[in-house]
Amino acid sequence: MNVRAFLILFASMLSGCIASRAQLYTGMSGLIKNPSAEMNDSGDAVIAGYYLNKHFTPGNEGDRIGFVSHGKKYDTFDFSVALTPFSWIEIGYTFTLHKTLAQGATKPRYNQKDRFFSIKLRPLKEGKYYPAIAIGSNDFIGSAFRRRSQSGTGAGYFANYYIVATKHFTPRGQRFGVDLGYRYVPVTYGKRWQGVVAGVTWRPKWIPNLRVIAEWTGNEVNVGADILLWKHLFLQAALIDCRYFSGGIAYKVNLF
Amino acid sequence: MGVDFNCRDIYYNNRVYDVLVNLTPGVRWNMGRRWEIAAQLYVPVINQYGDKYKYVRFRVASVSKQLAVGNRWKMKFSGGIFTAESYGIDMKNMFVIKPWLALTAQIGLTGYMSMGHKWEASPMTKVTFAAGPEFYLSRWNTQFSLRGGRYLFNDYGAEAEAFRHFKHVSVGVFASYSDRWKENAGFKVVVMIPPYKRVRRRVNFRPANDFRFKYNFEATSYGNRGYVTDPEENEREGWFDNDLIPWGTNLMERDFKYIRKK
Repeated sequence: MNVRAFLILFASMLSGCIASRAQLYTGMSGLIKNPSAEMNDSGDAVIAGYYLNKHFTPGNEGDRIGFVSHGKKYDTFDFSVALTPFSWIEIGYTFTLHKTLAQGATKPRYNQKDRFFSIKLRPLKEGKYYPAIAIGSNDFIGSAFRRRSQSGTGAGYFANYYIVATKHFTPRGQRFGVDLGYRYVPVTYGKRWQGVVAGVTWRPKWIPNLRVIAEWTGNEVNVGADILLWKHLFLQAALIDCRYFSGGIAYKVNLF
Repeated sequence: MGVDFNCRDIYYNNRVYDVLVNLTPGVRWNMGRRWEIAAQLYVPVINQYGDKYKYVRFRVASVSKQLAVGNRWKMKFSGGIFTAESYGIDMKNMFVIKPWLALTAQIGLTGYMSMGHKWEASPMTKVTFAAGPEFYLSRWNTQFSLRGGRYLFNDYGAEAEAFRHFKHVSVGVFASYSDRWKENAGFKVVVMIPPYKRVRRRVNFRPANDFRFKYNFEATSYGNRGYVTDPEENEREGWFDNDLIPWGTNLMERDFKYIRKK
């Protein structure tokens, strides 16, 4: 069996032609770390788990706050749920494990968590000659609560606001996507990801559920791929800064 | 046998969450003329909440009567043990103005009762109430509600909800404000549990109809706290029988198809 025959066979195992398009660390649609203006289908619900390499998370080595324990960054996991109640809005909730040293304990463990909501609105749907445009935010409520709090420092790690445009092209059945946006990061932990962000995606003609991704986050280039298997199982693997693995798994279901 | 899942976040105990899982067997007796007795137990199987929660106890044990006044006003009277460690009497009302608009009002006279570590009770002197409009957009099966009132911990506040109802699942977000515990937000998920074809007898022993999950963004559980008087009351099913002046989700395709047996 040659490679092409294998790919066609593999593609035939994939049920349906539902596109994969998740920014999986939040359960929402997007690229890897970058957002996109693609949306999940109306009624889609996603439950996801994601392994976050320490190069993915906010904060820096030596910091006292952020995903740092005793001055060192650490790898962690997050869990998320997301819903697309209408085709123009997505909402999501993510909690990310924190590693801390509890009083009386001898070594740090994953015993705390950071929680945040995400929202994305798409006022303009992609047309033949113009891109889809979306605006959104992660961890936006956290910032408000933190302003009220006298001592809280836990909120806002992932806070950002963005506007992004996405346009697809399909030469010879190969589907390419181009994403261009601007991300504003109001907190110091993730300031290095503020600025212009961009990405390109490619869905091979013979495996439409597979998506290959390359993105510029404002700080580094990430590459990765994701795929939707058997309508419900979604997988994403990525190399942060082209070197450090992150990835996740999700269950996706349409509630209609 | 249904399952009640709870988790709470207490800092500095070296755990991400404390977990409390109860089995919730129940019984429902339809006595006719919309009189009903319903009871549900908590049977703890995993308990990291402490000794108070380690005992088998009632979640709800109530008798209720529903009735219609004309063809727009429906009422429900309940008495007995309610959730949130309450007991007392309660009256619920819905007045249907338009297919997309209804007004709801609820008032209760309750006391505290705990059947946990040791039995405790207070006199039935607490008045709670809530009222407000509900909007239902049938084209999208989307519901908005706004309620304000007085809650179990003597706070006054308001809560706004937006729900989209899917086939067997409802998902909503809420935002609330309490004069004592300030703002809160979160989401709710109601999943109607299969099997969707059922036999209805006069007395039914069976799992709960639904799995309901509410996530509070704020850690406090005191603000805007209410009780429910029926084990299967939720944001999808509402307060009343589906065939009593149907409105809102009552007009969706039913989750359960019943075969009636005596």
